Amino acid sequence: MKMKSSFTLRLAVCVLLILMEHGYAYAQKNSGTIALQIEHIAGNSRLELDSLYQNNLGESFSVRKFRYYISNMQLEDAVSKKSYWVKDQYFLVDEANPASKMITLPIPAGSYRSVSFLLGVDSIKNVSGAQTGALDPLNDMFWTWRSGYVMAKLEGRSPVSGLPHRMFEYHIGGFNGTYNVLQRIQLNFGETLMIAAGKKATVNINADINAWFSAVHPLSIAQHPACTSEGALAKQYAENYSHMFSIESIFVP
Amino acid sequence: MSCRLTISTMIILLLVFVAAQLSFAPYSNNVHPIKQRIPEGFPQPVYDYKNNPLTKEGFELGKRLFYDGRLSKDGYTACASCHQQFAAFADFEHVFSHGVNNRFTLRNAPPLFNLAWHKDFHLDGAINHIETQPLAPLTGLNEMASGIDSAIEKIKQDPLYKKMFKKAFGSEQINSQRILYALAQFTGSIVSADSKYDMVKKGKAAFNEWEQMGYRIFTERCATCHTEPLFTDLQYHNIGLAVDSFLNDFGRMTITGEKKDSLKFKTPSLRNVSRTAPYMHDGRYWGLSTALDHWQTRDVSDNSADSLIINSTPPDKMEVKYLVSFLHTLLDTVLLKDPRFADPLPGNLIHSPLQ
Repeated sequence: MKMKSSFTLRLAVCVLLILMEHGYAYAQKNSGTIALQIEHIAGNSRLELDSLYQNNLGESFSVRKFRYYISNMQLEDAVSKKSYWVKDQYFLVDEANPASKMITLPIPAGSYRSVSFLLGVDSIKNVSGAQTGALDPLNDMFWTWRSGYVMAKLEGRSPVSGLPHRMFEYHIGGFNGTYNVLQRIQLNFGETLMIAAGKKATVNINADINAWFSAVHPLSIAQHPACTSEGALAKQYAENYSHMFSIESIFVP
Repeated sequence: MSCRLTISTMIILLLVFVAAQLSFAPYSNNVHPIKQRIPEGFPQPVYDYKNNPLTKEGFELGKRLFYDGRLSKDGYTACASCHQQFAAFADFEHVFSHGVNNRFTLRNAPPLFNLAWHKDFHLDGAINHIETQPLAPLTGLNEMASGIDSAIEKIKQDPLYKKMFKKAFGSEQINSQRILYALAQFTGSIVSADSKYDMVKKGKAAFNEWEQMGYRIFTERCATCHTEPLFTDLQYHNIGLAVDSFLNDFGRMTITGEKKDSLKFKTPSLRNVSRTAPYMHDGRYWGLSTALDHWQTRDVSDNSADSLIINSTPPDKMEVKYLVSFLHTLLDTVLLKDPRFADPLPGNLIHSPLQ
């Protein structure tokens, strides 16, 4: 009798596990994958740390550090025009960490018109206390003396900078009020992007550093070698870098 | 028969599974939950531990971190170095506090209590959450001057910490979020609501004549900003303190960038105020009556101060005496001696050579 009940129990656990597996697989069946592969460039060249480039204002510069947050991603459905919102996922894209430049996400199979995302960390997460993962203050993207995330960081050197070591430093932050630097960036796929169940579509995106200096506001390194607190200047940099992204190509299997 | 048994077993298993999930969240295994103390008459706290369940294990870990000098660059400057229990967790009789390398802070250290009712921190409101607050003193070059990474490394060297993190959070993993959660469990639990004033409010004690006179003057003239029961409105005000030309501290304006916030500082609580001299953001006044005299002695040509200061008559000498008598009733001697908040290893981890 005891033997039998233990056998029944084992059987029940097996059946339960199979059912759960099945349900999980069913949910997966209607889901595909989108991969955003980001390439950092400077004008027409691929960005290499510490190599020399020239911005559109004729200043030469090299980059030592280039990082930014991507969050609150949305994919707009081509038919219903509704958006699929990737909630509570924060990505720290870092030139020094190649893996961080590939963002892979499961999304429902379907046809999509555009992808959009927040460049930075939304205001709610900025006031929600201790975070971990990409938002860990250990990543050196959090202002400790005055709460708030640095949304994007660009550091390097330029012969036209008047700072020690000819360096320039842009730490762009500010999540509320007049000097909110949060930018929503939308990239249209052009043709409808079909995400088939179980398949992965790759969107190759370029991010051009040169946009930081001149996309909207001309901000020369000579005049502004540093911007490390929130304010009007930080907002201008944010308005500039919001134009740095473009879709280079799309690969659908 | 067997089939029915299987189905019923499955249902039971499913229920057990669901129940287990529920009981594990939000507490990890084998912790002892603590109920947050909300004194009678207090409003609902801003910080309610919803995402950071308050437990005995988390609190004890937070306390050890608070008293541990190894978190700092020199190895012996702890949170508790400048926030001492007998001074209501302010820095006893220090105008400015001493950080590592003989450096000074630029503001008078605030006392720490009833922090769960604050929506922002620092006298200019620079910090917007109790959990991220410790990062400021930890990394400040004139305070603990540490890196978050090096502090974590030092904590990891101590096997007792590994055990404590496991007890509090279910695994030995030590990261910045867990450190900050634990610290918030300790600092947020420091509640001051057991002063003579509180006993009077509960009908368990009575004010003497001067205290009673002082309380009357207080409610008429001070309570607009020093709102009961927290004795602060948690807002920012300019009370006509002329800017110190060495410090050039313009308070709230530094954070908001708005001219209207120039020289505004957060209203400090008056609880325990008799223990937290010197006074004002830069500790410019010693003694309560001197601080109250500011009303009289301030530069009246400065009309940028709050209208409540500008348009009212300063208290006369006797009124100041009554007020000071009342302010002494706000001293919470229970808090100052509460063993729950005392150094778990007296003197071992602060102000001693690097271990």
